[in-house]
Amino acid sequence: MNRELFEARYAALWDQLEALLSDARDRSRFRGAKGQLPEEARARLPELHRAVCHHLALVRQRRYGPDLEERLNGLALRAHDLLYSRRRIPLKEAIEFVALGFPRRVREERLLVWLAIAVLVLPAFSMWAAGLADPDLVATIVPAEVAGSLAESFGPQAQRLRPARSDFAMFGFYVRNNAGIAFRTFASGLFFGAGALFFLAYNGLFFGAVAAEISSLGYEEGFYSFVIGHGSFEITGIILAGAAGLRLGLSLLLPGELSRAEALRVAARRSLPLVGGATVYIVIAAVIEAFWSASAIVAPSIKLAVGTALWLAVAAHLLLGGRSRAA
Amino acid sequence: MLKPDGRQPLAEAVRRVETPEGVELTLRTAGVVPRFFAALLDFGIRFFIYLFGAVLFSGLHTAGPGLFLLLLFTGEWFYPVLFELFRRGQTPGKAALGLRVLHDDGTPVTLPSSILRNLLTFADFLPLAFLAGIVSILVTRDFKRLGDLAAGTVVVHDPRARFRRPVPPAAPEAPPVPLSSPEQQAIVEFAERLASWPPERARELASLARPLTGATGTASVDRLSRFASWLVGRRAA
Repeated sequence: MNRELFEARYAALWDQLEALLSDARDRSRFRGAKGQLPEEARARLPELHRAVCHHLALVRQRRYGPDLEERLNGLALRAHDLLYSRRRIPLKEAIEFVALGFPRRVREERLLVWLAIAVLVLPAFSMWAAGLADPDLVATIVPAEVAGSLAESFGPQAQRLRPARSDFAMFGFYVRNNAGIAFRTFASGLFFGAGALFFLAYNGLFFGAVAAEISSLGYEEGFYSFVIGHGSFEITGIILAGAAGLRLGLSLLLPGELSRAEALRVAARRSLPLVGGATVYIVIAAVIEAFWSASAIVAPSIKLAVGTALWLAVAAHLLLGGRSRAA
Repeated sequence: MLKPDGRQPLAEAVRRVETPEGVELTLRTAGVVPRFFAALLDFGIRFFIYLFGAVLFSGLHTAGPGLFLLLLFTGEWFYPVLFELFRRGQTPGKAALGLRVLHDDGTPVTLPSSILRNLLTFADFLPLAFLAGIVSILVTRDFKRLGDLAAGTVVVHDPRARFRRPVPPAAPEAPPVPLSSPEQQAIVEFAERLASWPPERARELASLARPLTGATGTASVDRLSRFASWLVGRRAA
C-alpha cells in the first residue's frame, strides 16, 4: 500500500479521534477528563487509540513521511494522555491516610525520626543550658526586638496579647510561617540531608535561646503555658518534615541496589506522606496557637493540663494509629 | 547530526516513551530558556493575584489579613500544583510558552507528583537564584530540575503547540534511495525554513546534501525542495 491509499483509508478514523479529543478538551473545566465524555465516545477511545498507535508504527516502518508521522504521534500522545489520566484528588483516601497511613509511615521511619528529634532537641537543651550560664550567648541567636517582646508577652503584667479580631490573622501567619519552615526543611534535605539537619538544629537552638531568656527573666509560667498547647503538633510537624528530608538525603548517600536517580524517586514518593501528615499537624498547631494558646481567659494551669493532653494525643496517634486490632 | 547507524544522538531534546500499545511516542523536552520565561510569567501572574487579593480582602477587616496571608502561603507553594492538576500540567506561564508537565512515561501529572516537584522548588532555588535547578536542567538527560528528578516528571513542549510553515510548492520527486525517518525530517524542515534564509545560506546548506542530490548550489536546493514535496505526501498530478 502506498501513502495515498493508506491516508485515504484511515483519514476518517484519525479525524474521528481528533474530534473526540477536541470534544473531551472542550467539555469540562478539568479539560480532557474522560469521565466527561459521553458513554459511546469513552468506549471508542481505546480502540481508536490502539488503531492510531498501530498506524504510527506502520508510518515509521514504511517511511511514509515526517509530517504524517508527526500528526499521528501528536494524536497518539493526546489520546494516551486522555486514556491514562487518573482521578486527580482522592479525598477519602487522603483523610484515611492522615488518620492511619501517616502514623504507620512515621513508625517505619522511626530511626530517622529519632535522629531528627535528637538534632532538634540536643541543640535546644545545650543552648538553654549555655544561655543560662552566659546570657550574652542568647543575643547571638535571638534578635534584640524578639527578646524585648518576650517580656511584654509573657511577663506578669502581660495582658491579652492582641485584640480578638486579629486571631485569624495570626492563624494565617502561623500557617504560612510554620508550614513554610517545614517545607523548606524537607526540600533542603535533598542535599544529602544537610539542609534538613541545618533547619532542625537552627530551630532547636532558637527555641533553647528563647527558653534561656525566659528563665533568666523568670516568666516560665506565662511562656510554657503558651507554648505547650500548640508545641505538640508544631514541633512534631517540623521534626517529621525533617525526617522526610533526611529520607531524601539518605537515598542519595545510600542508594542500595538502585541507581541514585531511582533511589531518589522512591524515597521522594515514600517521604511525601510524612510531609503531608506534618502539614496537617502544623495547620492544627496554627489553630491552637491562634485561638487558644494566647487566650487570656483561660488560666495557665488549664492550658498546661490541656497542653499535656495534646502531647499525649500526638504520641498516641503516632505510636498507635493504624495498628491492626489483632496486633 | 546523525550517528552512523542512523539513530538520533543522545544530546537531543527528545524523550521516547513506550506505551502499553507497544508503540514509541516522542516527547520534545523543554530546556532552560522557555522554562525561564514561563516561570517569569507565572511570577508576574502571582504578583497580580496577590494584588487582587489584597484589594479584595482589605474590605473585610476582621478576616482580611488572615485570608491574605493564607493566599500568600497558597500562592508560594501550591500555585503550580493547582494549575498542573486542573489545567492538565500547565500553569498559565507554561501554557503561554506551550509547555506541559508530564510523568516520565508520558502520562498526565498527578497530585503527589505535582506536590513533590513543587515543594522541591525550594531545593532548586538554593543556594541562590535557582542555581541548583538551572545546573540540574543543564546536566540531566531530559532537562530535569531537582524537583523533576525526585517526582519522576518532565517538562515538554505541548504536541499541539508546534508551529510549522508549509513546505513550499515544488514538483514532487521521490528520493533515489529510501531515507530514514530523521533524514526525511531534516529534508522537510530544510524546505519549511527555506524562505527564512538568505539564498546564499540555503545554497551552502543544500550543497552538503550532494551525496543525495548529486548537485550543489541552486540545483541542490531545488532538488531538495522536490524531495520535501514528495515526502509530505504530494504526488505528481
